Amino acid sequence: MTFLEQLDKVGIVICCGSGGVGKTTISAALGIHGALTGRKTLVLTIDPANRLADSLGVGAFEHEEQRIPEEKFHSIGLRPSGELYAMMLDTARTFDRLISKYAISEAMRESILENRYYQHLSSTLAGSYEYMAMEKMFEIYNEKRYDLIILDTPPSRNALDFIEAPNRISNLFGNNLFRKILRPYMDAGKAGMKMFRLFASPFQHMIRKMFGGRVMDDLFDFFHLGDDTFLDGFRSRADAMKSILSGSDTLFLAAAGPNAAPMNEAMFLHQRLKESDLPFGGFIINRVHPLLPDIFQTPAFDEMEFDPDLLDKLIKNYRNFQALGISDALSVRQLAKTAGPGVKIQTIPYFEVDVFDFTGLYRIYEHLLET
Amino acid sequence: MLFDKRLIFVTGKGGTGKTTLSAAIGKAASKMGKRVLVVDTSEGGALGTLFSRGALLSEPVDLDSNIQGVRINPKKVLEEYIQKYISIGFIANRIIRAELFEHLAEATPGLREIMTLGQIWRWEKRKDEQDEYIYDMIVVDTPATGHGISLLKQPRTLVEMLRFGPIAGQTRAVQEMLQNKDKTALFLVTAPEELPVNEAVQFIRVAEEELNMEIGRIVVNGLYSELFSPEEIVMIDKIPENGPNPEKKAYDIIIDSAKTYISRKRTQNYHVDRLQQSIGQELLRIPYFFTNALSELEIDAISGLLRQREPS
Repeated sequence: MTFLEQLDKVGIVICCGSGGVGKTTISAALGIHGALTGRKTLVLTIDPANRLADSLGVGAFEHEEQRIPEEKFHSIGLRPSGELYAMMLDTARTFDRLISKYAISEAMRESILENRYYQHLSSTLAGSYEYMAMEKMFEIYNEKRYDLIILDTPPSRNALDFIEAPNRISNLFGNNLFRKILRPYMDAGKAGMKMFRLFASPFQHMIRKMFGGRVMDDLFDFFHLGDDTFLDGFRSRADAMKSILSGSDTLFLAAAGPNAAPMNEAMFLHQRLKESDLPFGGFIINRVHPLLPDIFQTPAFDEMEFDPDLLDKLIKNYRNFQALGISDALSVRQLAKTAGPGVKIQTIPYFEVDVFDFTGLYRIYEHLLET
Repeated sequence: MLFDKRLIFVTGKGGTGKTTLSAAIGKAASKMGKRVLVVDTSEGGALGTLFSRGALLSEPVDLDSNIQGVRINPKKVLEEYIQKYISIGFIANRIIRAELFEHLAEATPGLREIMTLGQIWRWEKRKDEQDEYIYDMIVVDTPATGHGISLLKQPRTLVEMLRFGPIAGQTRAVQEMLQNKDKTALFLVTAPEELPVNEAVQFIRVAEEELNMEIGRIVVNGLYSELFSPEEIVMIDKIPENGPNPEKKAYDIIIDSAKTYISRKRTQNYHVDRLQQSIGQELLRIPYFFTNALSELEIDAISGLLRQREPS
């Protein structure tokens, strides 16, 4: 199976990797593949690069799904049998929408939205793009309107945050220990609070000492407001996300550049995916410099008619790029060694101009076609 | 003056070279006779390797003369914090205790960030028997996520939720430290490319409007030097392109490389000009090194540049 053929068998492709390696561009190129293989494809991104949106012919990415005009494909002589869509994630309101979804009454919804603990939680988690991306992808996946969803994962402190996101939320809302600890406090109710404090569990004691009593009350309110149905809604959602991520309809890809830091990150990611038994499709190494031939072995080196000063500069410059080509090749070779046999690695060369037009995206796609 | 500050947060988009610059700032300050602590907030160990050693530990270790390095493990800091400032001796079972920390951290998003900043705050204040500061400067390599904004923003949202109690108290002190412009500065690293420049411009606005922190220095990292003269560029531009051809002659190969160089240099200049026009201060330019694995040699070169630009 070639690198891209792997995509034909799944409904979700998750493109991970550290920031600055060109994940969004790669995701868009994978989207082209989806459309060309006859599938209705959505590329989900948080990337604000408007020039990329321009190149796809959608003006600016919006928080609604937008069809990439077919003329874009026609302009480079392609007739896709599928459709390509793109969408930028709206991270701000996703959380509140979820509350509305699971709250069983209007009163419950409003009380939760006004709760200070909730406000802290949601404002902090709203910054947690990885969770929001996960949430949105899951929602769209369940609607079954697309054959293929490609998720350009947000830059995170660590690419794994993304994989852990459903777990974290599940723990937060559904963890038995946490709820067990709070439960006695909740059962005691506000009236019985004074009495109850005498018997507070060590955990509550710790929270009270660290954060002050008010937080305990807010926590209480939050978990009291959200009854079991509400909390279970969150928990079962997280569990469902987890099972889809580890199922056969998902494929993880690791994008990196040849530099040491993103390479290490990608190897680390691969290691963790392997440990968690998640489906891994391979590495895409972007912006790799070519190996240059040794000019001193090619004929006619002496016949160049440059002024000696310029010739020195030209040779110095050539040597720099030659060194870079060797350095990048070694880096890719090291990756292959560490990843072990059978792991796919696809390299994309360094393009001389930033890839911000459809032709450029198609060129990347062509490199992904090679095996 | 950047080197008069006691605390420097190095921020920037992932891949722009924050870690490299953090190491170089540390080295530059130590060459000026300052005692420096460089702080790694990542889970990897990249900062350590730039000083030719493995991942840093959770206690400061010597990296070079006058430089110590440390990696912050928020979970461990939280544990120590609770043990030191809040007596929970009554929970004897270590496993239960560890589990409680885990849940506490899960249930309080932002707690890890506060613990990280709290630990930095304690190092900043630390003094020896002669009542002298142990460190003259602390350099923090912030996480790549949104330029470390989430780290630096956290004190405010947490204080809003807590208002009282020991953690709220510490968080307020941390907030004061971050906004003390005599003491603390941001050091913004960007690259001469489309997205890094866009995000740098956004970050400058956030730093002023939302974080209320000072940007001490903005650097563009990875700039090609002025290798060819304008006349030489005109000449090379005139030589026709030659397409893919396995039988390339030496002449074609070196001209290809020169064209590559010139075209990238143009793109870089375009983005640097764009950045320079939208900011008030002069950019510091750091050259590109033709390798993908930097060593102490390159760090020394960059630290030299940082010092040169500082009036003595």
